[in-house]
Amino acid sequence: MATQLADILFVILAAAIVVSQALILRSTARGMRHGIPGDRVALEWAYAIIPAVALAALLVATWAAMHPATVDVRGVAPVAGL
Amino acid sequence: MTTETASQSRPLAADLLTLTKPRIISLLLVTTAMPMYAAGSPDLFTLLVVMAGGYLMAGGANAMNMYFDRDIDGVMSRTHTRPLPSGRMAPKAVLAFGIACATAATFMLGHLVNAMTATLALAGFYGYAFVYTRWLKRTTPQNIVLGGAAGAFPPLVGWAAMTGGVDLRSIILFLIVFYWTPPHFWALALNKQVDYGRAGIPMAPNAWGTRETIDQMWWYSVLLAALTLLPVCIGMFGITYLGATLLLNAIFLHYAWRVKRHRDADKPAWSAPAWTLYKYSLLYLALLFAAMAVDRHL
Repeated sequence: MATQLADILFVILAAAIVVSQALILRSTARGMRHGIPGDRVALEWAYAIIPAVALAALLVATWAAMHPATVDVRGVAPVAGL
Repeated sequence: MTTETASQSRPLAADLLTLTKPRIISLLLVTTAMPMYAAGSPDLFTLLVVMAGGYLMAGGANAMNMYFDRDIDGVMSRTHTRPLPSGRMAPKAVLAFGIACATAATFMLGHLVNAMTATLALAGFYGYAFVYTRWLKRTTPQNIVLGGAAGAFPPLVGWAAMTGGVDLRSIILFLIVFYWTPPHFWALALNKQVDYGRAGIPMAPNAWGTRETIDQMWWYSVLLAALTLLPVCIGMFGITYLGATLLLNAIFLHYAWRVKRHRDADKPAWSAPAWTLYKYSLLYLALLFAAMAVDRHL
């Protein structure tokens, strides 16, 4: 897939993923008010956030894979010349 | 009485097969085999060993699940005829069977495929038998969300069998199964609320209510649809996969929306759409993974 097209698709997908995950977290918070004992709320939040963190890491890793870092060695001053 | 007599006299081989939950494993094997073809061209021997090892490992995990859940399986209509609650097998025999299956699978995969494949399969076993069944299932409504990780190991196993490792591409496949699990399983749990309530399992529909569960099923479906297209961005799959995925996702979202439309209504309104979503989700995952293999070999 052409790089620019892939970039556009990625941005659309990333937006859909972030919005969906945010709404899942909002719904989880509403659900917790239904019947989660107070002493378990922090743990339930931890459970809810783990997948969100994994998704964030995935999006970063995917973007990095789409844009492999390229070092322009021409612009680097030669150490030997110091 | 006649049914009881018939079930009591069931052959041991049939009960051992029941302990492995063969119908569930068939989908796990699809999500193991197809990534092997997505990663390369497996020879028949490797494919058969991975399938046999995968069946034994998942079967062992399922037997352990029935061992740990023997107290609640008896009170649920879906599970009360299983070998343990019906008294056809002794708990220690089921425990031994589960451990034996997992041990055999570990040696088979470790010696005949590679260490990474065996390690990942064993991680899936521990994830399902201990993290999900023993820890999450009875303590949190998010049991299915996090427990879904155990069922998402097969793509990693299949990928590792071909490449010897785990990379971004296999992690995307892992997360596809992970995010497929909540809308799939909650579609079933919605219709089994009475059962789970009787067993004291805090499934999302029981703990959070129908409305929030259906809401989340919808957003998990949207997230899943987006996630399945990420491989296209990194050039992992091409136009065949893209076309198949767009079609499969469109149908998935249609069925999920039919459930969501009735989230504020009573059970008769969302029950049938939820069943439809549950059944389609099984087909969806199998076809999605088949599309990956087809795309790579066309």
